[in-house]
Amino acid sequence: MKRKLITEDNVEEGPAEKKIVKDDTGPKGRKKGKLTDREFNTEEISKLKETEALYHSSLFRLQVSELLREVSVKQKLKSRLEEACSFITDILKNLPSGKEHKITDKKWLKSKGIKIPLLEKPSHVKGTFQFEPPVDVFVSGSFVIDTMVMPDVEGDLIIVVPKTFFQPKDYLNQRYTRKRALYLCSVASHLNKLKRVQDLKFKYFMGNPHKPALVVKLNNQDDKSVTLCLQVVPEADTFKESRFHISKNNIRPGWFTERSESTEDNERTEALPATPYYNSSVLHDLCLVRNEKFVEKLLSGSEGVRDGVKLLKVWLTQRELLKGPGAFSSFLLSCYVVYLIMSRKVNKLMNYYQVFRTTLLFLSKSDWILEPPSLFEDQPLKMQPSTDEFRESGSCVFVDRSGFYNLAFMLPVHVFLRVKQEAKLSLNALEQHQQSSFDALFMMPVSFARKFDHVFHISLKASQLSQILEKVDGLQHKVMDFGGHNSLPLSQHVVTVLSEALGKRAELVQHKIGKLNEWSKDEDPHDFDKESHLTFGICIDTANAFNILDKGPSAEAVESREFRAFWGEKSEMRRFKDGTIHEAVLWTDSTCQRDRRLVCRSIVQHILQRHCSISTKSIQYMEGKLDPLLHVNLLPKESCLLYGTGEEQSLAVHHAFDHVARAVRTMSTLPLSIHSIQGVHPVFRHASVFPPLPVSQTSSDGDAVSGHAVPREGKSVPQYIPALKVICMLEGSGKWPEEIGAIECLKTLLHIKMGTELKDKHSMVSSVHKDYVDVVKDGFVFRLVISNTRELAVLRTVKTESGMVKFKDTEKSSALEKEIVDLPRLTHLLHGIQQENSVFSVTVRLCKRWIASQMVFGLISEEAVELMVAYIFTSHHPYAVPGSPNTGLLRFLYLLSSFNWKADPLMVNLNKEFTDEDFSVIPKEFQKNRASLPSMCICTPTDKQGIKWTKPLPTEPLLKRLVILAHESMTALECQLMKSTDVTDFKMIFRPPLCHFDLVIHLLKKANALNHQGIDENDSVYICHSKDGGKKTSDIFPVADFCVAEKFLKDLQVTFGDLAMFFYDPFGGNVIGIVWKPQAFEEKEFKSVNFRFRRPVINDNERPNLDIDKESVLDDIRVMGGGIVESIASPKSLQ
Amino acid sequence: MAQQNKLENSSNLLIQGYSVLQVKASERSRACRFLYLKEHSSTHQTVEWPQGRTLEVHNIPPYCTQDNLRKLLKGCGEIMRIYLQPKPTAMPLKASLSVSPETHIKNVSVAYIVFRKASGVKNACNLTYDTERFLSDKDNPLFSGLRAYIKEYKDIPDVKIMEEQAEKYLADYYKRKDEEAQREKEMEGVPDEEGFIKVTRHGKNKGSRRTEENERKAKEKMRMKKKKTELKDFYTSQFRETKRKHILELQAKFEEDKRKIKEMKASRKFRPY
Repeated sequence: MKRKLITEDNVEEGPAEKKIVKDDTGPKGRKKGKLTDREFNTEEISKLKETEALYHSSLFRLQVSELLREVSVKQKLKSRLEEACSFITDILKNLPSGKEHKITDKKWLKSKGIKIPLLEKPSHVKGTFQFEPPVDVFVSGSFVIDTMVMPDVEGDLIIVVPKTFFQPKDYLNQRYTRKRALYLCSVASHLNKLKRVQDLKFKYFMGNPHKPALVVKLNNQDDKSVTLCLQVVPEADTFKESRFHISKNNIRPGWFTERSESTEDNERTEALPATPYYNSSVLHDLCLVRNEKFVEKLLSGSEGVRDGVKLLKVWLTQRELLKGPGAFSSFLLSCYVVYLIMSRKVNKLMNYYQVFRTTLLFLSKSDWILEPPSLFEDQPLKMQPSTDEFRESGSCVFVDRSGFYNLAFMLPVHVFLRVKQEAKLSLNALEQHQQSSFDALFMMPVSFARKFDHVFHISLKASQLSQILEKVDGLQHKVMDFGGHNSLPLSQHVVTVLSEALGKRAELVQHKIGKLNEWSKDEDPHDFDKESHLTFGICIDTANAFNILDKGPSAEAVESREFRAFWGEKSEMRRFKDGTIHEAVLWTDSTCQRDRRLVCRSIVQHILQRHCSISTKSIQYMEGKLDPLLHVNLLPKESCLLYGTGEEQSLAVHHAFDHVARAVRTMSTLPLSIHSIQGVHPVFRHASVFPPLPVSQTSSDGDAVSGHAVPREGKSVPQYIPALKVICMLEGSGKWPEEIGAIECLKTLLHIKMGTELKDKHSMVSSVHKDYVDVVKDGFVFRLVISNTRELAVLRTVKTESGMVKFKDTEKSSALEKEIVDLPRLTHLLHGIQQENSVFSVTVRLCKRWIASQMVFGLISEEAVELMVAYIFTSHHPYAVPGSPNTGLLRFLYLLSSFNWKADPLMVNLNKEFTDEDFSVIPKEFQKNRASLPSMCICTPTDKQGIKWTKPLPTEPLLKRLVILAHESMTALECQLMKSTDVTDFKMIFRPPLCHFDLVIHLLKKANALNHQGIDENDSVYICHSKDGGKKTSDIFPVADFCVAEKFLKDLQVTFGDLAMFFYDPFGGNVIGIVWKPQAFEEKEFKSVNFRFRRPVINDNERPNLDIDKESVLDDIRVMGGGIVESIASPKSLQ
Repeated sequence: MAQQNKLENSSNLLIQGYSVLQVKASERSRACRFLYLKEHSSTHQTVEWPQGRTLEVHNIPPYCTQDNLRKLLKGCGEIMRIYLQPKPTAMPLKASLSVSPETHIKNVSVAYIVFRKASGVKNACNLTYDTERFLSDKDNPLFSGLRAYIKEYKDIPDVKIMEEQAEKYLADYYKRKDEEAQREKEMEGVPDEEGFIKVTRHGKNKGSRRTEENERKAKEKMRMKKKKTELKDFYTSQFRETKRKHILELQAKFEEDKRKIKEMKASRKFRPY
């Protein structure tokens, strides 16, 4: 069995290797072994061998065993639990019988200060109740099989009630559940008298509203408390199992709707709606002992299986799937492992890794609806329900030992699908031999907001809820089945309808599993309907989710009526290109990417309105809430351009660039041909936060100097037009000069030629400079730079004394290499990611905007941020690839704040070019050279050291600050996304606190050309009307690359860099923050090198010293910012 | 010492040979800055900065222009040249030579001022400390901020001049190159004093370039040759050796991993929640 998991070649090697071990342990082997620091004995060596063959990797094995040590329950706690269990057992067994009451009689309960832990809808029911001491009390669950996992350890105690406690007709109309609840109350009243009992609480057992359980907190001698969970079950043969057949009715509608109880005895039960949930809930009790014993028997005695189950529990807990109503409970998990043992997929000799992996493997392949697993082994019984009957109940199916009970009756299909998807993702993560797979599986909490691309909330009042349920067909019976809780059947119905409506667009739709609520014994029981809102999540499939059209069946086909009925008035007949006529639904006619991302929202709103009568007002859809951060208003309004979140503008630039590139390639006057032409501005990799707009500049904006428009003094600055850098690589030739000065001159001449030809032949306005030539196309300015690899070689070449030619990187050469080699490559690769996933662009821009809004944009390189976002898309485990900017931003913030930058390099597997060797070598090299490496290392297949984009910035203190900011922002944003109020201010995390700065420089509005991009600005920006309009003014070159605020900031940094740090948000920020450096305040010796910005003072030794002259520095800033700065103030004075 | 100086001459503050002035950028300035003036003296004698006639002025503001300094030192004597530099040096920086007087140099902190007569330096050093002085007035405005940025942008290069300059440089370069090649050609095959003949990259028998890469390749080639002649896993002892190596590797990796785990444990990396 073991070998099933091993790859084939490993199997062959297996026995052979064992022999070697033996060989090596001979005297010869010993001698040679001395090469290592200490000798390994035979056992250790064989363990190493075993690890190699049977585990993921030795590091993984060590990590997991550490994890197991951490989560396993310590012996101390175990013995404490044991003691508490036997204490309670003794007391319960010796309880006296009670008096007889009617079920509806609550007086005796009131006198004891206990409220019945059950929602009694309707309140009246026949029958009597009399407490009898239990026949048996025993410990069960994970405590017995020793698979408990920290924290929240509970001991499960089961109280078996004698058969005589129940009357024969008690199975009907919730009488059973009520009596069981009352029994629990009596137990509680007895326990309440005990001194050792600290606290008594009720909860719904695994969220089942029919079945309350008692949670007892018990004091121990050493003042530490333990928690026990008590549940009541009848003796096994109290009722016939067949009575609770899944398709039978045991709650009469007549009684439930309170018309009369007389119909109760009618034997026409077949016609009545089935009550599978209620039935299963009773069966759960009847079969409990049998199932528990069976699980115990199969799981006991094997450490590997036990630890495997523990690992699975940790895995589920991190995904918020183990606890709560409708969760994949730990008992279900144990049963599934037992099922795998029964079907010989898992055996007791396996180690925990094998058990874990096998279980995930079969979970990911299984289908609990079409091919349900079963623990039942004997010949089928007569009355036993068939698989089809089980399936009809609407939940997942997992038949138990008795053949009657569905273990998974509380597990909704969507939760199972989620588990299945998670299993698949985790297996993928395991296959990618990376150090991070352990973290992805067990250490990273997969929160709901980070997992699901689209999150929405439905908030309804209780009255609205019941109204809705009345309108929807078939849900009334379900409410009856669920004991009067309205929201449970509704949430399931919503998920089912939405899954059908979204179809291929969604990979997964899930209702968020709530918390298991506990309430005190004297409080009203928890009512699911009173929860403020229902939360749903959708994992979208980015390949299909953004289609604006749903194509239905052909108009003549029979199914078209069905289609029409489902979609309602939205469905229309449409003629398609191939001439056929189909029913179809068109969601939006906008071509804007932003609107396409919101198609799913429209579908959800429409379908919920149509099929669940939930109005759009009560739905809070979270996708798109962050879009305003990337939006700018355009003027004039009637222009044909749409600006959603700017994707279209990026494309427009690409389009214009294609024209320019074609023109450049066909140039005839250049002596050499151009072998590649590639843009390196962020917009070419779809990563420019605000892509440039086609701005029209009329000559009235400024004066013209030799064909160039120039800004005019005294007026507000012209609109900012960025120059988009494009690298034109010329082909190599022996004729390139070998001196850098000569190369530069040659390039200048080529630029001049290029400018002239583009102007003459292609009538593009151009502006020639020494190092580049700017051309205008469609209102964009492209800055063409000619380059050649020879230049790089010349910059690097060093001649040693012996005459050997050496290549050595200098500052200049690395800067040039970055620009002409690395940036084009990065641009190319990121462009590729965008082609694969259209959400990349909006995500990367949102992340950059966040970085910028913390006023640190200049202190960490743009490319580093882009690579981090690329990492989220390439190494997305434990999630699927992000499908919305919200999840993208959240995961980015999580990565930034949780990644251990000090101990690990971030390996961005661009284009999947890392080899297996790289994954082991790169971290090793990193460890070795850690001290000399920058604070954060981002490796790519072409930069294995990972320092290209992170040296010298960010600095260590800045990174620390960023990590804190990221963590705070993430928790705040997650909180906002999971709340359901319509007044949430999503811009909150994009507003930096100013109080940390020593001083704040306010900029004049008219000097800030990017004012319209500000977080809280609503200004509009003018663009040119149409393409023709742009051409008319085409003989004057517009003001390009003229951003006063940026220039000012740069000057401040250059001039005062030793004294202070400057922080600024380049996207419409109107303040610059100043933080003095501590070394600025040190007194310096009176020497000419220290004169700058200092004034003379007399120190303690009566010698002249130099001290910082703050006032004159501020004065200089004011003068340097003449016409730019409004005021300089302390941030404290602002508040 | 400073105090002594103050007592001796109330109108002139002298600290360690530097006379100090209080200067404001303009009348609107809120604070005074301190300029430190001294006669320039250096072991290096330069033509540009003649001994005795050159004045060093430290801590001038970053936006300071020549006009501002001329205004400040009006009346001290006729000024011949002014050099603005970002830091004090013994010789003028090359860049400052080519800068025309009108150009605004950013980020300066030291000025070297050459007077026609030596008295100009003395007059400047004797300026009184107590009076507030100004760098600018109506005729000599401050040149900074938005105005400077706009002016900078307006300075659009003339394509023709650019072309001429570049062509001239290239012509010079090729001429130099040709001469060098000519010389090398003449030297080809001619032994030097010790009788060695230099291998050049011209002619029939040109050697490959001596680069690091080429040398590495040559070494690699040698190693591969050697390796080819060896037999692998031929003898039992060799076979055993490879196996032993494998185990050692495993052991080393195990130790490495253990160390890593220890580190992780220290940073509490195993608490899942």
